[in-house]
Amino acid sequence: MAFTELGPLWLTIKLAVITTCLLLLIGTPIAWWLATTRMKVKPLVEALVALPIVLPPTVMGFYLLILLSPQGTLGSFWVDVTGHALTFNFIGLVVASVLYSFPFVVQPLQSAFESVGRDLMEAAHTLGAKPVDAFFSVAVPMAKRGYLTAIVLGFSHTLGEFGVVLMIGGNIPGETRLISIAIYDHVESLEYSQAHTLSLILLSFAFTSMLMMYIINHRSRS
Amino acid sequence: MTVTNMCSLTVNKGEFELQVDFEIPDKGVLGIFGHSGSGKTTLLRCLAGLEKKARGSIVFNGDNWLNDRKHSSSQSRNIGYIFQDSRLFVHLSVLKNLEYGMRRSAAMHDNNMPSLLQLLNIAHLLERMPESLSGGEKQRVAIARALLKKPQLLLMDEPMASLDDTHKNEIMPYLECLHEKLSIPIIYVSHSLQEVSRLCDKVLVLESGKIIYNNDISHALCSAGSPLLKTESAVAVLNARVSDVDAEYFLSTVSTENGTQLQVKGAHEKGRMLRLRINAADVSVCKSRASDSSILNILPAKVLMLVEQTESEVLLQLSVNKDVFLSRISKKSFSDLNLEPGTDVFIQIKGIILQSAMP
Repeated sequence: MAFTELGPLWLTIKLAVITTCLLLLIGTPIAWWLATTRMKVKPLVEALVALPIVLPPTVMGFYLLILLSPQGTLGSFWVDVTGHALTFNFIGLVVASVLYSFPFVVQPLQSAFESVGRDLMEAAHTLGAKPVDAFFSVAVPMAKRGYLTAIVLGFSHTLGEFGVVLMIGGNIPGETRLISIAIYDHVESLEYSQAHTLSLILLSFAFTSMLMMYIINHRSRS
Repeated sequence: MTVTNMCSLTVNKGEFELQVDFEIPDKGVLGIFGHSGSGKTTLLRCLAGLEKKARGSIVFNGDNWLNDRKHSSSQSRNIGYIFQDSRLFVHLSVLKNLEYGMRRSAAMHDNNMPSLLQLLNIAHLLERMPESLSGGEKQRVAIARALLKKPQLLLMDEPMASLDDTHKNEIMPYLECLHEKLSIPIIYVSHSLQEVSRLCDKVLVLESGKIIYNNDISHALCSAGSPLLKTESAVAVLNARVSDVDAEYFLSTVSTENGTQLQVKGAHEKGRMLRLRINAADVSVCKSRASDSSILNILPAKVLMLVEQTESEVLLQLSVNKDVFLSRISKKSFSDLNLEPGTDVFIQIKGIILQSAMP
């Protein structure tokens, strides 16, 4: 494999790792809140969280482009603070990927927390555990299958994104040229053998991670 | 110094309202008896700080757990709570479950763990995971887990309700043992008359969220008008101390604080307190003392009242000194013997069920 192909691969992995870590940090409290709240706004928040699943990536990319561009609300603020634009650079990709992969992390966590249930948390409280302590000593370890699913889905989904990143990231080598975009480029230029190599890498990774997830889930269930 | 432990509260849950006012004992077992939906569990949850809608006041050992300004959390009330369904942490081994509360309690721990493990017979289970335990074992682990954090008050919510009869019989002796060994008060929620009569010293009966009866267990089981008195399963409970032992015949003499003496099976340690349960069906009545009977316990008694009657049977309340006994006899015998309140008779007690009791 040519050295130039390693660039997009490395960049994609970096993006997926950072996005997944951020999503676990942001997604955990939101998933816990969704799993335990009795507030009436819950369905509204759930619908917002699930939106990226059904929204065409180009629609999301379009709105993100408007929001993140130096003229947009978030983009102009970012320019003021850092002096750089959010569009067509790596940080913009991270922001977009976090939003795009949001439901793939929050939903498995939410259902894992729901299955932990109120009962065991109450038991922990009667044994002297404060809420945060009970969360980390009971809810998180019991939701570990949910975390595994969330990590695998969040990571794999970020690896494969195309529409959104094309809209707001473009195709800058070393900055925004991700593996899916490189494949598209190769196909456009009729470089099928390069496209094959990269596609095969993505395909085998996607299949292996799904297989691992189902094997582990199956084992811990039985 | 006498500390009054009070619980006076209201919980409003839409159509259901719980309104209670009672004294939490400072030792012994207080039973909370009632049918499902009477508010027993809600009351226990209020005491544990798990019911956010509780209003009123709870004072225990000088601490305000609940008042107009304060609603202290479960973790800051030093309680132990045994749930119906044990609620062990499935991701932790039995040992880690046991240590969970210990690690988080303020009290420094002397080593009463081995003796508690022995008492509840769970020492051999420490390395196991909760899912591999039987229902009875799970519940014993849950009891140990709650006790190891050294609570000031133990709350038990129908700890045997989720067990089948075999496991109930397996766990009952441990509960009786705890009753004898623990110095902290226990509040025991149950809808089983048998459990209440075996374990409780006092009983409070709930119906539709209100206390309809609150008394000592011996009164609750024997008095007319008590919701616990049921002709079919009527039983009298007495506490008595072993005063003499006859090693040759393997018998002990026990005396109640009113001076009634009874002979019971077994050579018990002198001075030990025993709880005697005497089924009304095991007590018969005669007008004269039979001198040639095989029955050991024949006592002069006075008929107090006819408590209840069915088509064929009557339930009589009788007193020996100030101790109250119940006797279930046929309606025919009742009329043949011309029994009425005040009649002097002899009661013959055929069977006494023994339990250890609080010293």
